[in-house]
Order: sequence, then structure tokens, then C-alpha cells
Amino acid sequence: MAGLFKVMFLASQQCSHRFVIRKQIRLFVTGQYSAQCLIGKGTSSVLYQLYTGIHTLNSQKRTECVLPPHSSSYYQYIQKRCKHEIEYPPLIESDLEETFIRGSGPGGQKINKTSNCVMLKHLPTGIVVKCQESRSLDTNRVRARRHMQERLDSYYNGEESVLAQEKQEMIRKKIKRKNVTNKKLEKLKQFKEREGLS
Amino acid sequence: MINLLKKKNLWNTLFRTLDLLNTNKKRLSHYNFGRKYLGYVTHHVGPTANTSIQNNRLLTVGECVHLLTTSFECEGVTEARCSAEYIIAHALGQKTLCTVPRNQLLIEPVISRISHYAELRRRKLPVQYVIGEWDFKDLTLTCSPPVFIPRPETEELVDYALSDPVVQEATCMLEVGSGTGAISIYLLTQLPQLMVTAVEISREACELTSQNARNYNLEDRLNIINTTFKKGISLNDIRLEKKVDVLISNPPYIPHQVIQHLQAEVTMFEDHRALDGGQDGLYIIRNILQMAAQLIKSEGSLWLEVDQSHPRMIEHIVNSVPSLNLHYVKTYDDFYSSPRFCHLKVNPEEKV
Ligand SMILES: C[S@@+](CC[C@H](N)C(=O)[O-])C[C@H]1O[C@@H](n2cnc3c(N)ncnc32)[C@H](O)[C@@H]1O
Repeated sequence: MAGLFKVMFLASQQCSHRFVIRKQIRLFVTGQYSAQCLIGKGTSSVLYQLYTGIHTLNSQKRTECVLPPHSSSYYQYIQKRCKHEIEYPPLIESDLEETFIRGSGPGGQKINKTSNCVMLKHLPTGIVVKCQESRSLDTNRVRARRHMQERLDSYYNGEESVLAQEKQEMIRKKIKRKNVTNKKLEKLKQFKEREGLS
Repeated sequence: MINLLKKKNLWNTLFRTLDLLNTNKKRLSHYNFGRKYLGYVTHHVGPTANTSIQNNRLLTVGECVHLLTTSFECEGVTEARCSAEYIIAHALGQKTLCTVPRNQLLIEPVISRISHYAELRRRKLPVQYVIGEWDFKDLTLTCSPPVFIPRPETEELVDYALSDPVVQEATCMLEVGSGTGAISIYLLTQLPQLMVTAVEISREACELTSQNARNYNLEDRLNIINTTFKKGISLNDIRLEKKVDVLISNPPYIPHQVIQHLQAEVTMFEDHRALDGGQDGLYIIRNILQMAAQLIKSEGSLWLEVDQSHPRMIEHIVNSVPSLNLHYVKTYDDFYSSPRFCHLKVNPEEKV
């Protein structure tokens, strides 16, 4: 089970809503799989069209699972992700455990500490990130959250994650550039040969 | 280049110490190693150093961090590793070592800069004063003794203040005690329509605020007034024509008796006028509460950073003294979950 479905499954660990995959269709043009999902119960359920990457889905026709308490932000995420609008999974503050390397004790004017390292743990997945890129504690807290989103994105979405996609895009561009340069060199060589320069 | 480095006896000496440590790990404890290193630094710097040392390997960033950390630990310098890293990073022209490879070799004049900074840090000078600057949110502010070094809690104060609609729409703000100018300068960068007046008792702090404002091209929107904020201060005294929308302050709030027991970095080097809040830490805060309604227009905001014991006391004062014409809105916690920030408002004008 890959990509978007993994998000849903992970979300299902804490129950409150039902989630049913109704249909799976292969989109031949793009090589993607699409699926329709029913989220919620009875009349209040919503139908979502989901896309996965090039991964194959399990052959099972119906997959049932349930979504976590914060599911509304997951819904939005899934919706936006389908429309390729949002880049990273949502981060829920209550899922995070934040620790400061500077230790505890009296703060404010009484203390002058310079260690501004921030450690974040995402409790549902156990992923830990650390940030001490900046001399400002506040900036490190913001950046740690960003790094966490990137990590969660690769965790949930694998090859479809923003980072992976950007990487693939870079490789593609590199190959293209290389091809162009090779062609140019080839032309130059031919030209030199024709003119008898070499 | 290599030749130039070979001449650096000091670092070769340090190197030998490092090698010694590696080969005789069991015999040479960390403590002895540090003592030895310190000995070299204090007694063998300059022409007296032994030139006959054959070892000409160069010191890498990683090794230098290790050496400096050990030396700081032996001298009882707090946050030894952090201090070492910031000092080396600054000597290399960086803010942190995150972007510096650990195996990068150190060359002159970086090495002498590091030795100089290390010497200052050994005397307990706060890292921020040693390197002369520090970051506040995305700003880099010049810091110099004895002007109060901005604390990370204050980064939260400005965030909470920015979430207040009164602040977002403010055109005129007053800050009591600007120090390096952190609060005023940050809010000016965030709110293009804002004008700020800063009242500051210390001449050094006024100069620093003005220098930092100039670095961010904000001097046109910041008036700095070198005067004491006290009871009875009038709008005229601080060259204001009308009442302000917002008053923000991180006033001195440490009880007088506590100051002498704080860490050396604070008591020895920071201006006590920036810390000392009198008997119960509320001295300046009381003055601010007293004057607030005369300086802030009705329904304007008052934002304060205070000691964790103060919010309840402030709420009590405001509720029991109606003549202050204020009401208490909310207390916000800092990142340690200590109650730290107070939001108050001036009462609306009574309709006649
Ligand atoms: C704790 S520092 C805050 C500095 C800066 N706003 C910050 O947050 O980093 C307090 C400042 O208030 C100034 N100060 C103390 N008493 C004052 C008074 N009565 N009037 C004006 N400024 C005062 C001190 O000089 C010091 O710079």
C-alpha cells in the first residue's frame, strides 16, 4: 500500500471515522492509479478521488480503515494533494513533543544561554528531528517543524513526496543538460572534421 | 599556504597534545589534557613557543571544537561546546557550524581570532558580547556590553503581540526600555505603517538601538529618547503629540536580591538597570501600569514580558485599582510553559 493510501491507513490507527476505498482505476496515460474513497459514515460521508504514484495497489477491492481525531485536516490535505495544491502533510502540534537542549529552569532575564538546539518528536510515527541551524531559538523551532514535515512527507508518500519529486526533477534536468552539451560537442566535432581543423 | 601554517607553533603544539591524547588515552585523563592545553595557550603563545616541533599537521574545525570545548570545561565555562562552536563559526565568518565541514582546515587569521575570542570567553564574557552580535528572529543585532542581550522569550512576546489586531493596525507605538532595539526593530520590519518611540534610560543602549535601526534602514521610523520612564512622565516629555495605539515593554523584572545569585555572565557583564525590578521585581511594571492610560489611547493595548510570578499579581493590581483604567486580557506562556506575557487593554471611553 503506497502513497496516499498510506496516509489514510496511518491515520486509521486512532479511530473515529470510517474510510472505504471504492474503486481503483489505472490511468494509462500517466501510469498512475486512481481510486475513489468514501470518508465518513452514511449520509455524511464524502467521496474523494485519490491518485497514487506509479506504485501498484493491492488487488483487494475494498479496504476499510478509520481516520484519526484530526481527520478534517487530513481530508483537506488529501483533497489538496489530489489537486496538487499543497506540498507537505499537515503538522498537528499535539502530536509533537518538543525538547530544548538548553535544559529547563528559570528563563527570561535571569538566564543567558546560547544553546538553541530544538528537538522534535512526532509521537504517532516516532520520527525525531533536531535543528540548530540558527542562533535564534525561535527560528530553530520553525525550521524543525519544516524538517519534520519533509520527513513525514517522505514517510507517508515515498516516491511521491515533494523532496523525492524535486530530486527526480533535478536528475531529469541534469540528463537533459548533458544531452544538450553532448549534442553540441558532437556538432563541433563534425564541424571541425568537415573543415579539416582537427 | 602550508608553509605559513607550519609556522604556527601554537597550533602544532596543540596538535601534539591531541596526538598525545589519542595515543595515551588511558594515562591522560580529559582533565589533565585540558590543563595541559591551557598551559600551552597561556604560556606558549607567541615567539616563546617551541619551534622545533616536527608535527606539521593542520588543525581541522572538528579538532578545534574538541580542544576548545575541553579547555572551557576545565575552566568551568558554562555551555562549553556551544561556546566553542559559535566562536569558531564566527571566526570563519559564519553564524553556526552547520554549513562548515568538520574536516575543513583552519588557517590564519582565523586561528588568532579564535584564540582571542576564547580568551574573552574564558573570562566569562557572554558569547554574544564576545562575537559582538546575536540573532533575534531573522534579525542580526549588534550586541555590546553592558547592553542587555535579547532573550529567546522575547521572540515569543513579539509573536503574541503581532497576533493582536490592535498591534497589526497600529500606527504609533511606545517601547519602554529598548536595549539593543530587538522588539521595536522587529515590529517595524513586520508593520510598514508603524512609527515607534523608544524610551531608554541607558545611553549605551540608545546608541545600540539607533545603530541596529540604521543597519535595517529603519531610523526614520524610530525615535529614541534617552530619558527615564517614571511616574508623571507626559506625552510631551517623550515628544509625542497624541496617545499611542500600543505600549510594549520587556522591563527589568528581576527582584533586587536575586540578581547577585544569577550566573556570572549575567551579573558581571549585563547592566543591572536592565535587570533590577526593585524589591519584588514590579517597580518599573507598576510605573508602567500607572501611566498606561495617560499614554495609550482607549482600547489600545499594553504588552509586557514579566517574571513568571508576576502575571497573577498584575491581574490582581489591575482588578483592585479601577483608577488605572485598565483591564486584564490574557496571560500567555513561554516555551517552558511558564506564564510570561501579559496582555492588557485600556478601558473604552465612557459614553456620556
Ligand atoms: C530587560 S531590558 C529589555 C531590552 C530589550 N527591549 C529586549 O527585550 O531585549 C530592559 C531595558 O530597559 C531599560 N530601562 C530600565 N529602566 C528604565 C527606565 N526607568 N526608563 C527607561 N528605560 C529603562 C534598561 O536600560 C534596559 O535596556
